[in-house]
Formats: sequence, structure tokens, C-alpha cells
Amino acid sequence: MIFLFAPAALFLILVFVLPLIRYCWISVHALSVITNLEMIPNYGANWIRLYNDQRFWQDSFQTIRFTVTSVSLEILFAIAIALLLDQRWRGRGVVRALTILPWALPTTVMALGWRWIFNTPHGPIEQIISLLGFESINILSNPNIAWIATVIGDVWKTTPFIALILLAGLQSIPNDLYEAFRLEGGSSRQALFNITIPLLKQYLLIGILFRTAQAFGVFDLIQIMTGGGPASSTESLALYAYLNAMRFLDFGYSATIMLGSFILLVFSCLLAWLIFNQIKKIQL
Amino acid sequence: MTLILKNLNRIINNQWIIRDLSFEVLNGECLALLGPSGCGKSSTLRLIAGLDKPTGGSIYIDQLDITSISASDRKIGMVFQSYALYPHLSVLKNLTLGLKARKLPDSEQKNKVWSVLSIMQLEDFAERKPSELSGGQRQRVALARALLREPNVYLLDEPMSNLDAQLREELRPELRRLILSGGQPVVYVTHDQEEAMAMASRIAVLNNGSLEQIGTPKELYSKPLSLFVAKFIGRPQINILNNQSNEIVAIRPEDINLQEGGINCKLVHQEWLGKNQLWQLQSDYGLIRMLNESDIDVPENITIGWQSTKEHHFSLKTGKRIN
Repeated sequence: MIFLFAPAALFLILVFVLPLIRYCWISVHALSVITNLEMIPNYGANWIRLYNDQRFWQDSFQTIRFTVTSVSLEILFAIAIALLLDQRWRGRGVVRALTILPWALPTTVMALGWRWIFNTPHGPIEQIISLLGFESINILSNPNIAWIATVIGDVWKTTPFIALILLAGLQSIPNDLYEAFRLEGGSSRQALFNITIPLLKQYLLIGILFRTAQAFGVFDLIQIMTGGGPASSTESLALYAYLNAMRFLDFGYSATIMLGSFILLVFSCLLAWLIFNQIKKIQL
Repeated sequence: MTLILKNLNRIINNQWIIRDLSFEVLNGECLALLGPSGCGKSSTLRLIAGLDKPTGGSIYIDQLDITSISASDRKIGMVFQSYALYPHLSVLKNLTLGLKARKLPDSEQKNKVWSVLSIMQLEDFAERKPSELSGGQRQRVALARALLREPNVYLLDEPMSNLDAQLREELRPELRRLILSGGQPVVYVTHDQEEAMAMASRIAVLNNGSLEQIGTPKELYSKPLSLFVAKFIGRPQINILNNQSNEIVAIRPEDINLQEGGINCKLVHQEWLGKNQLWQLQSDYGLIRMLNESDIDVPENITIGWQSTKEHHFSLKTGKRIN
């Protein structure tokens, strides 16, 4: 038994447990270019700094805002797409293949694409706006709305992934159930809320938890689309940690940010789970 | 209430699924649709239920043409082969869901569901999920749901096929009593002739989407209108004599007697069936199955014969009955 289990356990220990322990250790030390990259114990000074760091809390808010908006929109769109792809119609196979395409693209490639789409003044959106005679809105350089552009990019890329999970779930529901319900006088709207969604709930849960964890750690998409700007208005926690480690070479504080965001993530997943339990109760 | 099918057709991809099907099911009558798999019996049921649309023809309940009425408004009580119980809901909620969908008042919902639960002796299982029930209990829940629909017509699609043979026989009288108690017409689909005879007062035999014959079990057995029906009804299967005439002559194994000076035969195979025994005999007419009392010993020279009135004659071309 242990022999069979060992490779997976070893992998988990090497890739997850050891780095996490090392992060915890580093976070209670000063380790930066100032200390000549020596580890000097500073007894929680990093954590106090984190607690008082306005930018950390601002980024936490932005990360949660990004996660909640993206995941909610993705779930809604994915349900719609999955329901559509579950119907029988001409050309469904082609559309199903096309739907997966955004997900199959490397994030860097599609993030560059979105950066160009939102580019001012050359991108198509700004072109259309100016053709219609409206004033330029400078999406990516407006601190109030740039985050929406990153949400659009993320929703476009990962909706297919959830749609695929939900489609698998939909196709596991026997058609008999819908027919039986119809014969009982039920409408298709009632069937959606009483049969489809309850039977999809495991699949929804997987989708929501998976995507929440992933969106919370968003890095590449934002790094390429906005670099966290303008005025760090789209910066995520992962980006902030990266900045501290790679630009300021302050590894001690970077590790503390990562651990802080890890704790936030656990809370967010709990929150997502609670929200999900509420959704489950909706009937008719 | 009477269910009437008039010249019903269904064509998919240029293939006849149902071909010119007409029959009537009277008040409180159980009609069995019998045939091999793919003969169109389940398709017929789906047309009556409104789950599929016919290509042509019409369906009536009494004087009312329901062909264009949607499945949800037809008031049909159907038991599916799979039972189609909602797997995420308890028995109680399974039964309540339809009433809730039809927006019956809460108190009425409760009364109706609990009275049906008591009729079906399911009260102790009200809180169980379908996966926690036995096959027989699931069937009762499916039937309870059909009863709660207070339907104009009952449709049952092979309701016994998921049960073991012994349970099937036990449940037949009970099921028959329950579905006929309301006085509605009942259409019962099965591929098992024995079940059809036990459950139904009349049987419609389908073949390739067309009606071969409709009648009482006795009529089908003693006067089959086609070779197909003759072969389908009656066990052991009817003998087809290899006599090189311009018509097909068939004789049932139970109508053959030992007869001095008759046709010479050689015993090939012998089977014990309890009260009877089945002999397979080689003769000038080909292989013949013969049913005998089990206490008869095999004579040294087997010679057989039958009354000519027991013969069934069918046209070589169409397979239809002659005489």
C-alpha cells in the first residue's frame, strides 16, 4: 500500500508541503537585498508590516473583486452555453469544438490579444467608439474601469472550461426524468430549477471551487494586459508578491504576502461554499 | 373514457417507425402492445403520451382530438421502463413535485400524496431516496406518481422488465388491480407474451411498426391472422411444415398426437417441462416439435398425426392467413 501511495505523497511533499513550510519560515525573517540575502529573524515584523500595508489591503479587495466577478459571470455564461450545447441542433459539433478554443490558447497569447483589442487609440473598441463619434474612454489607462477589461479577458478564457464540466454533468442526466416531469404537467422552466440545477450541483461545486482558487491567484493575464496598473488599480496579490520578490528583492515580505493571500483564499473558498449552499436551497 | 388511434404514422429519416396504426382502448380495458424489440411498441406509447409527434394520423380521447395538445396538458399517467424517479429527491418529494408544478394548494398536495402512499403501502419509505429502494418499491413509487396525475389514460412501458422473474409473477395481479381500478383505458407495452396474456384483456401484436393482429389472447392463439402472430404467440413455438405446397402449413406442438400409421419420425431431442415433455422429431416434414404428457414413454417407432382442423394455413407470399 505504502509503496503505491509513496510517489504521489513524495510529489505533494516536495511541491506543496516543503515550500509552504519554507514560506512560513521565511516570513518570520528579514531576507532581502539589504540583509545581503542573509536570513535574520525579525520576530513577526513582516506580519505587522503586512497588517499596516494599505497596498496589501487594496490588492486584496481588488483580487476578491476580480475573483467574485469573474467566477459569477463564468458560471452564468457556462450554464447557458452548456444548456445550449446539450440541445440537438445542426452544427453543434463544430460549435462545441470552437467553444473550447479560448481555453486551449496559452494565456499569454490571448492576454496580448485582449491588450490590443483594448488598446488606445489603435484597438478595435476605441476605433468603433471614435467612429460612432463618442469620446475615447481609454479603458486600460482608466483606474476605474481597467479591472473590468481584465475580467472580460478572464471570462472569455475560462468560461469554456466550466461549460465543459457542466455539459458533462448535463449529459449524465437521463432524458426520462424530463419526459416524466413534462407528463406531470411541469414546464421547462420548472424542470430547470427542479431537475437540472439540483442534479448539476456537484459539477457546479467543482467548477466554482476550482475557478475561485485559480482566479484568486491570477498573475499572467493581468501582468500582460495591464502590468497591475494604472496606479496599481488592477494589481492582484500574486502580482504584488511578485513585485516585492523580483523588483524590490524583499523575499521575506514577499513570502508574507503570499501566506496572507493564502489565508484569504481559504476564507474565500469557505465563503464560496456558503453561497453555494444558499443557491442549492432555491426551488421553483 | 376511450382512447382511439386513427391511422397513426411516424416516419424518421424515410423509415417507417409506425405505419397506419389504428386501434381503440375502452374504458377500464387493458390493451397490451406486444412485439419484438424495434417493432414500434414503445414509439406508439410515446406518440400517445405526446413525447413525440406523429407524421400523420390522430389520437382521440373520447371525442377530443389530442394530437396537437402538448404532453404536459394531456393528463397521461405513464410508468417508464426505467421508472424515471428523480434521484435527488425522497419518495415524498418525488410524488409532490408534479403537484407542486401544477400549483395545487399545499394542503391538497399533502392529502393526495399521503393517501396514495398508503394505497401503495409506501408510508414507511416516504423519506428514502430512490437509490435506497428495491426494484419492486421503485415500481410502486413510479405507479404512485402515475396515480397522482389522475390521468385520462395509463401508459406502462415494460414496467416489469427490471424485476426478477418471481417478483414479476407475484406483482401482476396487484398491478392489474391498481391500474384498472380507476376505470381508465390502459396501454401496456411488453415483449413477453405470457405477461401480455396475464395483464391484458386484448393484445395488439406489432411487427415493423404495423399492426399484425388485435384480439383476445384466445383469438391470437387459436386463429392467428398471420404467420408472424402464429410464431410469436404460443410456447413452444408453432411448427412450420416443410411440405412443398403453395401455402405455408403450421401446426402447434400441443395439437400433435401419437397415431398409428401416421408420419414416421425419429426422436432427436427430449426436454422435460414438468407436466409436459417436448420431443423434437425428425420427419419428412422437417424438424417437428411435439408436446406430450410427461408420463408417456418413447415408443420404438414414433408415428404421429393431427386433426386437419388444427392446421393453420398461411399464404406463401404475404404470410397472411388463408381460410
